[in-house]
Amino acid sequence: MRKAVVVGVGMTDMGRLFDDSLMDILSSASLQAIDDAGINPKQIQGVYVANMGAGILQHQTALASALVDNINLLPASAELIENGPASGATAIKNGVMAVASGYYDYVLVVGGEKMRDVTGWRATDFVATLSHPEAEYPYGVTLPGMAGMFTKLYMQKYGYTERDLAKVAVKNHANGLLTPHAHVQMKVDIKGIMDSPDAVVNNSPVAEPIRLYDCCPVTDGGAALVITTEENARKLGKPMVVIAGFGQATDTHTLAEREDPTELKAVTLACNQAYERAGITPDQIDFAELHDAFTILEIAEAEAAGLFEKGGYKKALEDGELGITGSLPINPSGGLKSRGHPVGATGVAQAAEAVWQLQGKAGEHQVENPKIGLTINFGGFGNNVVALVFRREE
Amino acid sequence: MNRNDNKAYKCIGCGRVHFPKRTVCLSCNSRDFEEIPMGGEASIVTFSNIYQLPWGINVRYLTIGVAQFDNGAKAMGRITSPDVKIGDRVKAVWKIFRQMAGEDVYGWVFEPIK
Repeated sequence: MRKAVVVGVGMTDMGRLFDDSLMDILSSASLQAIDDAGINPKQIQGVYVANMGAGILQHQTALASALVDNINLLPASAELIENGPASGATAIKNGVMAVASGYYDYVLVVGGEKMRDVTGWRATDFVATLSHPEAEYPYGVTLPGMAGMFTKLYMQKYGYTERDLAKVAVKNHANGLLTPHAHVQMKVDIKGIMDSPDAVVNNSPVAEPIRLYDCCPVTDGGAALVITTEENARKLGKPMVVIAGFGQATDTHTLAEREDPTELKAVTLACNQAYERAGITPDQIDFAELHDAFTILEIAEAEAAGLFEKGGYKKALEDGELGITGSLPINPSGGLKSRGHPVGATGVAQAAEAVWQLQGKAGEHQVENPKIGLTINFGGFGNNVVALVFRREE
Repeated sequence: MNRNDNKAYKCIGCGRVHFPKRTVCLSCNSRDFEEIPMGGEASIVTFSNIYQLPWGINVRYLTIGVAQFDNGAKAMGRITSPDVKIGDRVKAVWKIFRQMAGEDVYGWVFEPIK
């Protein structure tokens, strides 16, 4: 198999992109990545578009065909990957397989989502459509609701408190202040969201024990990668940032049917596959971009990924090990919490951040000289998870 | 959609009890199930008082949780009181609890047992 190397990265601003259509977002991210790679766009043979919501939110289907037309990548192959919140990394996995197998030499992977076209009320409903259509959705359960149920059990089992959750938010918002395209750029402190008399208003309950600052924002935005072979990357004179391993695993659709509902089995399985393909162990990872749609998920994913023992994240956070200058920076970009969560695009945005880190191009939130980065893209409530290992090679 | 099915499905191959109905057993891959009753009492596994609700639900909050039934299955349902704890016993009632697009929707409603 051939190595899959990322030679081009693009990302739009994250936030409420009032003036841009979904097609504008996808096109902008794509062209940035193609220009960054410095290739003739017509060299791209395969286009993988990650999106979850266009069918519901924009009443538009077959997005990939529309994109290759709009930015004239015709007649490249094009397909839409809808895999819930894991769409982004799933699309990357398909791009990697196409290049590694030798079928395609250049592929474009682009994720885009436009969630702010609708009210928060409808966006919440749209995301909830990934739940079980009979055993979950009709009850009115939401993703924050599922996260609330999960958080309650995880706190009880491993001794986390609401204050621990708030500290995750404080860290990620501090990182997001250093990320120019991040959605929520504001300083958040424990006083404001936990201790002051106003905290009950600033940080109101969403789905107990989850509060507003435990949740990611609802985001418009997109990101893209151009992936090619090692040989082409050398010809282009690009840093050798290789997608060294991927893993993907699934779990039961309903939360209720998991034997131990605190066990994120698919995260563990996906990460172990990715580590094995990359030939690494988790202690070699220099930084991670985790899917912190809710603060508890940063904690539980880090532990399920083997970065810490169960309950071990807490001490590392308190010791400052997880900040940008710590021994294992987690979500140096601000994560979903601050950078934002354009749901179907998130996996590509995480990957774009990982590549920038390994290229040394992350700017103010640059981690010192990293060699190996991990991303976890968490779909459903953990029923479809993709892990990617990125490595800087010489 | 089959929204009025409150039976559990016991695998003929290994005895695992499933809810809702599925086509292949999660444990042994058997495709044969025996319908068994589901209801009576159950215990709260976890729950959340949810304040930000989806489009179409016009109440201030809902208490939704997962309960362990005595037949071995676990299922989600609405809990009639926000003042519950993990482990509390509830009476599981299958009934119409809302309408969606004008159609009655059946599901589990968990009533705490005092």
